[in-house]
Amino acid sequence: MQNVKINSSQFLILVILFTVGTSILTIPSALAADTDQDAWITVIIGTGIGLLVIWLYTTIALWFPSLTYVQLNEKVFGKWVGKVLSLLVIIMAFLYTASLLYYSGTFLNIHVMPNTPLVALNILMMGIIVMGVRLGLETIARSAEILFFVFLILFLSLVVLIAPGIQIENIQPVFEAEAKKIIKSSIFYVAVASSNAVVLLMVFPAFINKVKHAKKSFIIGNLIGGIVIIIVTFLCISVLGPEKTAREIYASYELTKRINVGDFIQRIEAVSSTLWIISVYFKAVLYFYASVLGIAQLLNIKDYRPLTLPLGMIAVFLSIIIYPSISYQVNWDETTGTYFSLFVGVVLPLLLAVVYGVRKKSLKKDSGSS
Amino acid sequence: MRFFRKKNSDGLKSSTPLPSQKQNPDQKNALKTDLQANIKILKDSLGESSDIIFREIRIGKEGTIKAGIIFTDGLTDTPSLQNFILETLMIDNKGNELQKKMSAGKDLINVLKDYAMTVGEIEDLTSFDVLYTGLLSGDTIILIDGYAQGLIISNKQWAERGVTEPSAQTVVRGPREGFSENIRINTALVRRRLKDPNLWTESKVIGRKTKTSIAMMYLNGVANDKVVEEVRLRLDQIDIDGILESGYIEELIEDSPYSPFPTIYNTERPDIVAAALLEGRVAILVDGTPFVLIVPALFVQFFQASEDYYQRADIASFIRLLRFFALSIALFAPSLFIAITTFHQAMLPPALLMSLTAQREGVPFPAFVEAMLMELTFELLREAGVRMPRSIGSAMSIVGAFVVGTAAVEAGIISAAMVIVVSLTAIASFVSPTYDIAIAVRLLRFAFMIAAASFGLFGITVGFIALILHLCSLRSFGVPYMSPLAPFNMSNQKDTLIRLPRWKMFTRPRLINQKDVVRQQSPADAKPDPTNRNELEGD
Amino acid sequence: MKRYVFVLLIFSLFLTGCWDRRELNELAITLALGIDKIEGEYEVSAQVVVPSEVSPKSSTGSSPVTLFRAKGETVYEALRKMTNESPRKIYPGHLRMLVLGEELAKEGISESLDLLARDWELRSDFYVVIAKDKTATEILNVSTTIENIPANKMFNTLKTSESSLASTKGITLDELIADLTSEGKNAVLTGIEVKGDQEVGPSKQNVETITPSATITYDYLAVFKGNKLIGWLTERESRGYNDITNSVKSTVMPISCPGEGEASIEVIDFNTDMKGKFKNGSPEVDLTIEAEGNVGAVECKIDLKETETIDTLEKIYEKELKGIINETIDTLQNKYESDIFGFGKAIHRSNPKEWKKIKEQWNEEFSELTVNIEVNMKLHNTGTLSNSFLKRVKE
Repeated sequence: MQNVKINSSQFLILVILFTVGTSILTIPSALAADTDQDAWITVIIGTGIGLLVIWLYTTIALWFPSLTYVQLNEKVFGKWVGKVLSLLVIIMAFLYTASLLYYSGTFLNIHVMPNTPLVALNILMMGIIVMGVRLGLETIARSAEILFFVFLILFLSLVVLIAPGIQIENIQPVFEAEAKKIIKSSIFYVAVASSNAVVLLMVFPAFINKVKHAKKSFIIGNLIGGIVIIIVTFLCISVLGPEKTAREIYASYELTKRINVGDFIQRIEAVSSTLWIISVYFKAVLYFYASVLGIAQLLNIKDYRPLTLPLGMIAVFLSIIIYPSISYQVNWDETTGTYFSLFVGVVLPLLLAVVYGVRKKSLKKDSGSS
Repeated sequence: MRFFRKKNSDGLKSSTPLPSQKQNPDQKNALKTDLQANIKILKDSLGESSDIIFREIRIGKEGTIKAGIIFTDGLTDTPSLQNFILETLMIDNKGNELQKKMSAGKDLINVLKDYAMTVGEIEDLTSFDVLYTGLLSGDTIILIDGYAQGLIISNKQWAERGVTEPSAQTVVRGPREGFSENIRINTALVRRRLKDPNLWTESKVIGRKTKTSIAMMYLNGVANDKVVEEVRLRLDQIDIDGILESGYIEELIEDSPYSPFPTIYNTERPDIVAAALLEGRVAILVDGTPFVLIVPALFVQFFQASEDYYQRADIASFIRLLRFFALSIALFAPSLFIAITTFHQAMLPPALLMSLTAQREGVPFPAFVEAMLMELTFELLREAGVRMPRSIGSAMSIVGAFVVGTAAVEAGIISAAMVIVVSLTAIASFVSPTYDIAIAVRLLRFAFMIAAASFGLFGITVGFIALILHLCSLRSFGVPYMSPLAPFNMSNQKDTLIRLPRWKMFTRPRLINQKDVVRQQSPADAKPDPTNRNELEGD
Repeated sequence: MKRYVFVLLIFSLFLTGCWDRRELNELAITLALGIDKIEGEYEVSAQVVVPSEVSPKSSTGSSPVTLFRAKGETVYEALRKMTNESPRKIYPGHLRMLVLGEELAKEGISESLDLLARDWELRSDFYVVIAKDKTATEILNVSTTIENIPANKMFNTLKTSESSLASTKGITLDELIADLTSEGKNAVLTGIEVKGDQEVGPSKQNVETITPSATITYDYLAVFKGNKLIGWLTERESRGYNDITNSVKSTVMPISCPGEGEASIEVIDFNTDMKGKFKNGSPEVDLTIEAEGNVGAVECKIDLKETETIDTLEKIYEKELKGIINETIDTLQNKYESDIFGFGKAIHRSNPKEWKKIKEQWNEEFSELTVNIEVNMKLHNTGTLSNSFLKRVKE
């Protein structure tokens, strides 16, 4: 499995899809609730901060270009401390797999299929996630290329079709929200869209053939993903208005309901749910891949495949019980979830950088001798 | 796949020696010195079949040497047998120079081979295995008393279908020649198009009982060595009693036997084979069938017709896009209809909702069952149409059109909209230029209908993601099946979903071949330059 | 082996699926809903399509729609109770009209709207109107001609009158909720009424004659303060409202000729720019109207070949439009004291800090508000004629 390699443009697409992920559904309303019509500014600031975080990741990862994050932790912190810290990352990745299942299932429950049991929807989604992870990273990357094309077409047509509905009055007055609130929400955004990308260190740089290019892809991918979310947030606010955006649970879905071009192109929101499912799918696949591969490396198992099915079943089970209600989920995301993401995604890598700085010489010698 | 491989490699060890091993025949297999003994063994093992002719003659000075000529009646060219073999041996030899050589105690076999036989292809023979293969494929065998050796003279000739227009892949513009059942004619058809010394043909005989000739053709230096080696390896691993059609080979060497998608291309058209060879692919010709296999085969290749390259690039591009559109209709139309009418009624425009609802009043089945019924009826009609004699075919279509189109709707069993959807699907599925991919789509359509009936659009989306995952996991002889879409390759896009003008395509497709990639030497000169041409003065 | 069990599991999902499957002929397609409040209970009426009557092939000539009614503590309960009467489940995904009874509107409408905004099947692109002097049920109980489904007739009539006359306004649920919730703007809704013989309305006879006995027509705008209906505007005021809020697409306005008689101006492009500002600490609103139009008809003897005449007509139009707008603002400031124009929003947009200080007492501030109006009219064409034949008509 170790000689699996994907190229940097495939990685770029994976990063974009990962960044867009669930954010495209939940970010607009979560941010509009805090900062009203300034939510889109929040995303811009958040994306900026996020890029710094990504830059931190690429720097850390390139110290040992052949190691995954789990192996890197062991290398830098030593065997046992490293394993414990890696476990945190794996737990995060696995928890978020389950939470993404919950997201997609609940989204469908709320908007399309209220009577279908959540567990059925989640099993189906998990089925293709397990299938993807079993087929390996190369297959995932290649399907991402094709599905990204679908995603792009749907997204661009959505933007073009909804653009006539923009009412500039809705985003005025600009900068009304307090600076403190804007910063607070943009940190929330960083936690959701950028700091979770720490799990991508399980892919980057170990499984990428041109690491130098891939470093750029990581940063550009995050930027493009950020731009997508900026556009969606801007559209939500300017078309729906800040109050409505904040009120809706999935504001961008409500946005597509507004599409009406000449009474002819209308009622296409169910098609746009395909868009969300694709992006959520790839985010979940990457989380799941990271957690499965992480566990395999933690336990020194050569092939991660046998782990996929049992872990997949556990993820489905977890996704049913992870949040007792949607209000709990929204609250958790904004409080505990954010702190947890920031801890794993920012504090740990920083800690790693510090330790690396201290132990630099002995580490270099180690890798030189081995 | 793993399962098949294992079996094959195990089987290889115990299999009968391949013809190439004829130099060291074991004791039982070797020809005897005594002619009578040889003939007896032959007669016993062939069960005195009436189409095998044994002819004993005497040759040499004074007719002292006994010789046997054995051939299969009907497969051997009798005039050439008489003119070039019997006549040389029995008449010409008497009293000429050869006589001396023959009597000089030299190796008679070699003398005959070198001086006497006025035929083109001749081979030594020491074992019965080779003898049987040659004899039963129409060669003439000469055995000489006193030698544990013989000669195989190739003078096969039998009645066969000539080169006719292929029925499967027809074109409006393009050559009308199609392959026939004879492998020699087929290699000749390819060779006529590529007169390059680097066009190499490797022959193999596969099938314990059928002894079918297989030829691998490729352009040396253009085709990827790894692919050629892989094809050779896979062909060598085949151990089976009979190969009757190239489909046998296809099933035994393809990468993913469980996939509904073909990873090997087949065609009846020599021009497609020639084009594929030029792109660096390998062709596998099988005796007895006009269908030639081409590997590696990519997904997009199944949507490209040879005619795309013979007509204008813009039109060809449009038609290619149309084919992909048709593919999505053929795959998704019934399932989308089911999903929208039973799950997402909100997607229908109000007026359409009203009219569809009005049509459905009184229809006894759920939309899914209705669609299944109609699709199955259509598949039945189609299959019946293929197998029926042509004359009954038209009667079939009348019954079909009447039953499906009119009566079912009039009787209120099926709603009219469903008939429209199913017919649209049917038309779209006929657009595909290759039969194989159309069949795969036919199968998957039912899977998508089931997914749509239970989970609506979400089911279709999940199915679609699974389908893409599956397609992306496939490889054809090492090449990712979905390339050049995934992994994406910009320069190959010139001839994928659309086709750019020929003067824009300088290189052969990547991934398939690695070396000798240049198609046109000088890109700058490639584009036709209208200003440089002589123009006739208009007067 | 495990693999096959897994595949089987997935497959069984499909077989046991179909939880949300609903065939088209299991739906009661509801095109219009009416909500009334009667003795503390909600009465909901649903105008449901009879599919076989819609199709020209299977139509037997009876009414293409039917009306179901149910009462309940909440709107949701009432809707579900409708299944006692309706053989199919109410499907509101294609709802076109929501009619609120005037009594309900006077008590407050927000409570009844929550379900409609929350339900996943509703698309909130339907119009909301107020039944003037009637209950919503009575409005939905009238058969109509040309569009034989009354809900469609109501929807299309409102759409055409809004875009070519501009004395009504089609307000969707989203817009209504935005108005009800946002600071500095109050809601308006268009009124709907039945004219003629209410008794004959529901029957097929109603549309069998050239002049239907009962017809559904739109009235003018209803003014809200908070979530309660407080009064009705006249036609002129309704037009004024649309002029101020930039809701005019096209309209015809009669103006008086320089001499005597009248001329009609066809407005083809109308653009209102509303800007809030603070002048000496007190809020002000500037309205700048840029309009373009044609001379539609003249009923007086003026010389349209003269450019001056056109100039004069433009001036008169500007003056009269200002009159209408002033009159409208006056009514709202003094009679209803409700800012339906969104002046507060405009001020908020321009100066959020100052707005915060006055937003609590905005209703009082609104009555004192100075509005500066500027109108620019540009007349282009005069139809297919230059001068009217009226000039030459023999006395």
